[in-house]
Amino acid sequence: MTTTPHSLVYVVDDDPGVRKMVRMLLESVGLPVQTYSAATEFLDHFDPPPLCCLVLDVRMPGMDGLALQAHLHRQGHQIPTVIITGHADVPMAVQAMRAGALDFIEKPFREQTLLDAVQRALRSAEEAQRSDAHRAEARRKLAQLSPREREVMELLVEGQPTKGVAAALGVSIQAIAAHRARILEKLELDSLPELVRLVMAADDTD
Amino acid sequence: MAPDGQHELDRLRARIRELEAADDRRREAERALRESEALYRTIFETTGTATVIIEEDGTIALANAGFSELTGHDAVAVEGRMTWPEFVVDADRERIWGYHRARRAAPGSVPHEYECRCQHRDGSPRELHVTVAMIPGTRRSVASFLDITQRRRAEAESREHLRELAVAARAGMLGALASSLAHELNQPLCGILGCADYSLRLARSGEGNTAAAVEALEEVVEQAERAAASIRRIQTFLHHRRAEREPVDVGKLVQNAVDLLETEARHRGVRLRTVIAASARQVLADGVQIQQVIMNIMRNGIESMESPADEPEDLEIAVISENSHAVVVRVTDRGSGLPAGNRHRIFDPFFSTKADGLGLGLSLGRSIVEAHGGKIQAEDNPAGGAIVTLALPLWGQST
Repeated sequence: MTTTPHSLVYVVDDDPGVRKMVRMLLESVGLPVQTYSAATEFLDHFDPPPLCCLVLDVRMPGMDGLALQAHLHRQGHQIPTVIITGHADVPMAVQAMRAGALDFIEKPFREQTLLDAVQRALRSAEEAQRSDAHRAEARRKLAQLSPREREVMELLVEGQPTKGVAAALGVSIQAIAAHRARILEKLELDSLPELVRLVMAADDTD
Repeated sequence: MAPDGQHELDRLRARIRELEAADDRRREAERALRESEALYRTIFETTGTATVIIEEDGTIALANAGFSELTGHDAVAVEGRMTWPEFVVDADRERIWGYHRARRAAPGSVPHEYECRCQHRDGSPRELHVTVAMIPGTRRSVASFLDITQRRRAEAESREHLRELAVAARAGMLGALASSLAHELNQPLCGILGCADYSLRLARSGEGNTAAAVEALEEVVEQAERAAASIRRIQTFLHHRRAEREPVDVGKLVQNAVDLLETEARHRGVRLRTVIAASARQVLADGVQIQQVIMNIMRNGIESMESPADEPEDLEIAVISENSHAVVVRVTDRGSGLPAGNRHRIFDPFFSTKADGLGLGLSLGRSIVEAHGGKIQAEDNPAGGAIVTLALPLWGQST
């Protein structure tokens, strides 16, 4: 199993035995772990590093796991979450998955089940981080375009032919062809499909 | 006639009159005595209560028809022939001889009323309530007997019904707690499975990381013991069959109740807080039944306080020994309080404020507490909610 540097696994479970076991398992594969006995305690200390995931018990006194999940979502945190529960009923699983849980595992679970789920969650965090970087780069490039070039680009990406763009903007086909060449040059692209991919990457929202 | 002769004659006549008057008085006294004897004999025979007169050596001098009926022995076969303790069952006989002798040495030193068991001539056992008094100026005593066999049987039956009801109610209560109890057992299982897997991985790796394996296996042992303790608590509560009274520590009963309800309370957003006085808190009781009453009161409190989403609130269970006579368990909740307008009905059977309640919990609780010579009452908590107080006679002080 590979360990991811600078990653952190948050564990929130009100049972001390379960917390101890999860910590032991995760630390044994080199993952840094922070454990909390309640949702509020976790939120008080929550300062997420770029790469982290959350192992969350559903049934806890005070704010329960699903409520914590919803709270994080409202705060705009996209932390990959593995739900663990002692009583997996279908409606609860559905609710958790809808709220963005990556995995839903039932207590008691085998060691490998937990380790796989946590590893998947960290990979997902990593991918999210990568796509964040990708999006930032795409947006930076698109920002170089002039307002007129942007107008032309948007129509091109919508799938309008050069003639259609010219008609829409009330200019000559030649002028649009020149704009199009200039846009691809500025963005260091070779083709229209590449332009479409770049715009999609910039638009990507979670 | 010579004057002397006349004088002598008068003197004799007077003497005769005196003697005749004395004889009349004697006859009168004898008649009164006979009447009195007949009166007392009639009372003795017809009072309806089995009665005997007992000599110093224990022999029954006189036995009435009631006694014959009670024991199946004719008075003729008893009077002057049998001793009173011969009628008593073996297990009680020594005690009765003890009373008999001590009563003649120092009448105040033994109870003048007591209970014992006899055997009817047909072999059937009889429970007797005996009242004994010394006859003034004699070494004899008079004893009367009340047959309380039926009453005792009825009491035993009603105790048995209460016990059966309590057993059923305990099963019902655990049924209602099943989800929490399953959760409570699942947690240690989760720890055990995870740590056992980890230990296996360490052992199979051949890396010889003994310290980590030991730590994981210690956790397996700890969690297994935790699960075993949970199961033991449930079994003790469920499979309790005896209804014997023995000295029990009320503080311990409260702790057992808290242990069984902890998970349920947590799931409902309630924190259990116990305050147990260090002073005397022993009562003579069927411990599991009392624990059941305490749990019932606590569950009512927990349910009325339920608020899983908020910060947990405290349900306080206090054990206080208020005076030298009673141990008090006081359960203070911050829930919805006693039902307005119906507060006096909460201990009635089939009265419930819960949609799915049978209304048997508190009424059974009151029956159990009263059968233990105790008292249960409910009042409003001035801070909101209810306070239920259960008082039981302290054991070992005056008894």
